Amino acid sequence: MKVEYRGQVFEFDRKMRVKDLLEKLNLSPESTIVVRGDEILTEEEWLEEEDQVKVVSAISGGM
Amino acid sequence: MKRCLWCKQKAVIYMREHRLALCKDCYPKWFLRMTERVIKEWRMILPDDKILVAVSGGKDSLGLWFALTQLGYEADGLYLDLGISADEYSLRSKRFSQQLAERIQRTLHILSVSEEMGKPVPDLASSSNREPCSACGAVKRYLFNKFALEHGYTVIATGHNLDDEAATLMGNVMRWQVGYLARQSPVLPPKNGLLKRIKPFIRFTEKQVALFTILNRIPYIEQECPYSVGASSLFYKELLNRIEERSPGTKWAFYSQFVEQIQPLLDEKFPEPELRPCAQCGMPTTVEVCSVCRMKERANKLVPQLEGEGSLRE
Repeated sequence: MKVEYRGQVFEFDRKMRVKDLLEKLNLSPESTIVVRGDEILTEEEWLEEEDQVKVVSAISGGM
Repeated sequence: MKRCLWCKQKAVIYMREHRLALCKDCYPKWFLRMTERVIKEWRMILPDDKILVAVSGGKDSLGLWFALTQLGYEADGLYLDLGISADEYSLRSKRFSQQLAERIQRTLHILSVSEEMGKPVPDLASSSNREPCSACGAVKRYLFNKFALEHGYTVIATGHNLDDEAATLMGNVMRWQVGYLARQSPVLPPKNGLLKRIKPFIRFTEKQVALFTILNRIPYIEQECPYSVGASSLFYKELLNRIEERSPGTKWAFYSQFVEQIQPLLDEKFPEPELRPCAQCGMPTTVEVCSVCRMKERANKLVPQLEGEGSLRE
């Protein structure tokens, strides 16, 4: 699966849950949203090998 | 697969702190309802208030402007062009703000920091030896207040969310900045030339605000400000999110209990220093000449020495 995060693309060759993907990328589910096409995924959902997803970071700095 | 508690469709979010799963249709409704509740609970907006939203082009301020208009509030926006040229940050932020203004048919005022201050924010920060975020914050607060006063607005609404407030609180606690702690509140009442400032999104995490913005198809600048990289607020946010993962609801408890129980005591014990008009610009300050006027003066005096060497824009 192809995962886009902050302009970088990561590839994984097996299916996994959203929460496992975030763990692999060392990201907190509290601050990220995973999107597949138009669909927003929750932590428990499965990602298939052929999926293309985008991880949106919700954190912004410099208040 | 989690189902929406309200309508049983597929959920898009499960908020562990509320034990609530909602779908793409119900979540925006819940979000608006919660925003209205916070506004009412804190008496943030009174019937005669004229609202100016501090718009940055990010998810929080655009989400707030959209939410307020959805709730029926007639709010205008003010975008400050900070003059951050790296990655066309300011230019792109401005475009997103203009797109939303067009969609909701509200006025977006635009001010250029370079025109108002003689220099863009990065130059103002470098010449005053301040951290970029600190200089930027001071300039933004100053110009928003000045513009709002001059144009008859009575309240300034900002998109600060729970993560922002909890991180600020953590930073202030770590250094026991009691003066700042005494004034950290969802509503700051008007005082001697400082307009009322409100934070209607304090009940939401950053993720919740981002989701509201995405579900409403509001394009926003996803990239962080280039100068915020390494900011301590980001580090505190990460720490708090790790705690939240282990113990849902901690961020809200940390912030809300402070506001309810500790802040009033500090407010009493550490009253705000008397404000008086700045000798140069007339805006409220605690000293003879306000920090923004001093920053402006230094930046414009030091220009020849600073250009091309050490400018934050380089």
